[in-house]
Amino acid sequence: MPKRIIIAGGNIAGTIVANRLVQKLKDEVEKSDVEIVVLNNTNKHYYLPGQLLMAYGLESPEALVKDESELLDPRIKFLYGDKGTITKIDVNNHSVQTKDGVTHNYDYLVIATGVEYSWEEIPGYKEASVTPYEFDSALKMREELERFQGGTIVVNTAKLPHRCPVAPLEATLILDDYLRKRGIRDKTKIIYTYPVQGVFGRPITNKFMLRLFEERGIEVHSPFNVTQVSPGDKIIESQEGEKIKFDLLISIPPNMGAKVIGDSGIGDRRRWVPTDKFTLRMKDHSDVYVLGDATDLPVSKAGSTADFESYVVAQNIANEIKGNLGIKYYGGDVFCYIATGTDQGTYIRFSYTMNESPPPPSYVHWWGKVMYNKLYWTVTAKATV
Amino acid sequence: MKLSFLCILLNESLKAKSSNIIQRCVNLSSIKIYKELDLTSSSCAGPIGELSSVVDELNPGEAVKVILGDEATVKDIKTWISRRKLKLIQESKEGNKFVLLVGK
Ligand SMILES: Cc1cc2nc3c(=O)[nH]c(=O)nc-3n(C[C@H](O)[C@H](O)[C@H](O)COP(=O)(O)OP(=O)(O)OC[C@H]3O[C@@H](n4cnc5c(N)ncnc54)[C@H](O)[C@@H]3O)c2cc1C
Repeated sequence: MPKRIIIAGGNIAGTIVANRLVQKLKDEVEKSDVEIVVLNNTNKHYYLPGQLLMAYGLESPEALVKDESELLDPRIKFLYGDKGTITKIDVNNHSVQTKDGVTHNYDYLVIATGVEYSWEEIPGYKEASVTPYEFDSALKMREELERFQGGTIVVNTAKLPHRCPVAPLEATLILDDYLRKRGIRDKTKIIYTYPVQGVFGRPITNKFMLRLFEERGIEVHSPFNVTQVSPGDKIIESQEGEKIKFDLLISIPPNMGAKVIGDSGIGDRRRWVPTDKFTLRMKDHSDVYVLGDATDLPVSKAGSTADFESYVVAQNIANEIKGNLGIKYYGGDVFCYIATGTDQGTYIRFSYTMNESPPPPSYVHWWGKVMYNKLYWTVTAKATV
Repeated sequence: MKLSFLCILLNESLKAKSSNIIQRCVNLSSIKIYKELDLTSSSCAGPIGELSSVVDELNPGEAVKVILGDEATVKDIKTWISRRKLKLIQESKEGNKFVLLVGK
């Protein structure tokens, strides 16, 4: 019997780790001593970071979706649709069940089931807003912005943590620049609302961004924990007692782990999977690893985080199977480009032990971001570096 | 010594108003730790960002155990706890780390 590695979820994290694993276990896979299986509910792979740019007309929709089967190494077994939709993860019996009724046993499981949005937590929120976080809504946001001629735009982050922690900053700063370039910034009030004091959780970035927001004339209301939105009156309300009238609301929806994590009883109340911050093993289960947005780690839920984590997970599983490769630990590494306009950007790079030091916004870092996006399909997803 | 009942002297209250020492007795054995948050190393949303989402999930009788690495963060968290009208159930030190039990 070959050893079976199952990867639950095949978007950014699942794809990178599967491709990295097959490279590390090439001989074993070719001799059928190891089988690598990716389970994903669809054959569509979405490059979510591009949705933010698409919402401002800076990226085209067709550049953001590809077939997962084209991205995975052909030596990987890929199941999707009912065959790939997981209905239960049974960590005690080392198996997962899929919607077609099949039970798949595993020797190692990698959980990469990501995030789902819990819009229902905030009455009126979804109906009243547009968001770069969902593909269709990002297109709607582009259309609404094209029609926009002035008024009040509120950018609201519902809850922490959420995917791409810098996206609310980017959404606001790109918006500011976009409106300036259309000559309607002076007719528009931009209000940034955020659940904790400031504009971002990390002190260095917070200070850096507060200055930028002030220079750009962006109003900050925080802490602001949204409780409900009235789509008819266009009013957003907070736990802190504030009510703000808006003409356009750009939202960052509340995030939770995947439903299957809750259904399987393996997550916390927000369905994040308890994960060891250094080994990336699920707590109390040495044959289960977790990476990407699915973890409960206090690191950024970002594609770059998933990429950094994939080296650790792939190395350690390969080491357990082959021996003598050495163990890797995850150091909390994160790298995020931050667009500060429609053609400028900065970045933050930090870890458990290192603080960020964002450089002044420039055209160079904007291009870094654009190139990183473009190289995703051929380099990052395929784990060629 | 029976440890099920612990009386906690809140230091900050002591410092703030020596005439008005608040002594809180908490039945620690009845408190369930919902989650442990290790915030000793730098985190993405910052300690308050990370903690704020977890306290929202707490049920009555539950606490989140927060492990912190420096006194400045302990101070920030305590200020935030009182602003959010949460409860600081226990404060202790484990080696060079600070441990807070926070409830609703
Ligand atoms: C607007 C926006 C901008 C962003 N910008 C950046 C950026 O600039 N840089 C950056 O690094 N990151 C960015 N991100 C974050 C990045 O997209 C996520 O961190 C990344 O997608 C996480 O990958 P993942 O594979 O862990 O999770 P996901 O992408 O959520 O993938 C999870 C996969 O699991 C599947 N799945 C879930 N449940 C099941 C089930 N029961 N059965 C089978 N399959 C299942 C899902 O269908 C999905 O395919 C951005 C995100 C957004 C929304």
